[in-house]
Amino acid sequence: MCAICGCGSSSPDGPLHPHAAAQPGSHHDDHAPGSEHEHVLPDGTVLRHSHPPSQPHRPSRVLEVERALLADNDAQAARNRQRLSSSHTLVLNLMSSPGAGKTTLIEATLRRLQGRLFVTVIEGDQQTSLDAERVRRAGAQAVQINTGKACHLDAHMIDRALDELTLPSDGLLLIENVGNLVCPASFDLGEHKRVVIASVTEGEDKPLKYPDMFARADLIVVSKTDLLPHLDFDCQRFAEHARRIQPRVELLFVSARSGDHLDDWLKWLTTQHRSLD
Amino acid sequence: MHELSLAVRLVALVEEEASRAACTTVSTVTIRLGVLSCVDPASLKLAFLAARKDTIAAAAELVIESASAHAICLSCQKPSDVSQRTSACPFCGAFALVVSGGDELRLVRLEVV
Repeated sequence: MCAICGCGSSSPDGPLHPHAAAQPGSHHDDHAPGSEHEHVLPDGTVLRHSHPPSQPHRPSRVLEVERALLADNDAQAARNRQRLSSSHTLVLNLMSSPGAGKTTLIEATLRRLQGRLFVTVIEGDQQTSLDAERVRRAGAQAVQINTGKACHLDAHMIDRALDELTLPSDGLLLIENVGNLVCPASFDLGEHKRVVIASVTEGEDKPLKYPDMFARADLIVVSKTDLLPHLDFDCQRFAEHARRIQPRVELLFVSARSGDHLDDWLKWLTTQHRSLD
Repeated sequence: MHELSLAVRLVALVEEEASRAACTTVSTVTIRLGVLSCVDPASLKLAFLAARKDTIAAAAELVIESASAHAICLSCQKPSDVSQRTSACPFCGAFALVVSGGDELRLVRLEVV
């Protein structure tokens, strides 16, 4: 479409089309080829542009595009989900701030599920393979992704990590995202469910401070509840704040260290795994 | 968050579309940004200035259209538009809004020569 008259001509090589614009100040004015020049549109908008002398002057036109900026990531995420669903593998994307206890929760989960469900772990950190080593010691197959300077995992990283793994069918894949309550929220990895973990030492206002992350959670796990006697953390107030962001969100309060309410978490996991059918 | 990588991705999309349309210059790039998307418009504009350098969009202006988010209140059942995830229902004041949309991040239109 011609941006000036809206006539629908979109061929870049088409002739200049005469229309009401053949008036002074219009985009069909003569100008020195190659020089930067102005066009004043009927609504007063001034367009400045230039083109080489070898090319004829062309009116500007509008291209309607409609493309999602994260389309590449979302398409890869859909392929990951398809690949893992076909092997009946439940995939969880675990997100939290650094130090909220993701790795400790994974270790406790591995110990409890031993012999019941085959668990594979993809660990995301900017540097080191410390977490992958920890979960390997706890009995899982693990791949470490180092994002370098990047602040989140994306679907292409997961695709590459999956190529390094042999996934038995009917298992569980836990993806531990980079510790960060901001960036990972925007990137679908191909997971079936998103789990956001917040520890009691972080305070009750975390959901209000980082609403984008909590708004996308399928489950919120409040961790380190064994520390509650030493803190002023009010579980009820945390739940109220989380439900301001997502009124129907499910919450669990657990301690991976003492084992308190870990059974609720395992029950949730097995329910999700069963619902893959 | 990661406005620079988004700006680089945006410019790559613009280059693809501009090359498909065989144009010489991109004068305006219009994107639609949901009010609840995790993107800061001012940071994205700044990142775009860096990302557009030495490309067909080197002189392009970035226009950001805002897309609203809709909500239904679980308490009074009334629909409303929201601009923040922490909003209360404008009708009954309950913090019981189920939000949909508002997280778009799309290249919608190019003005090219």
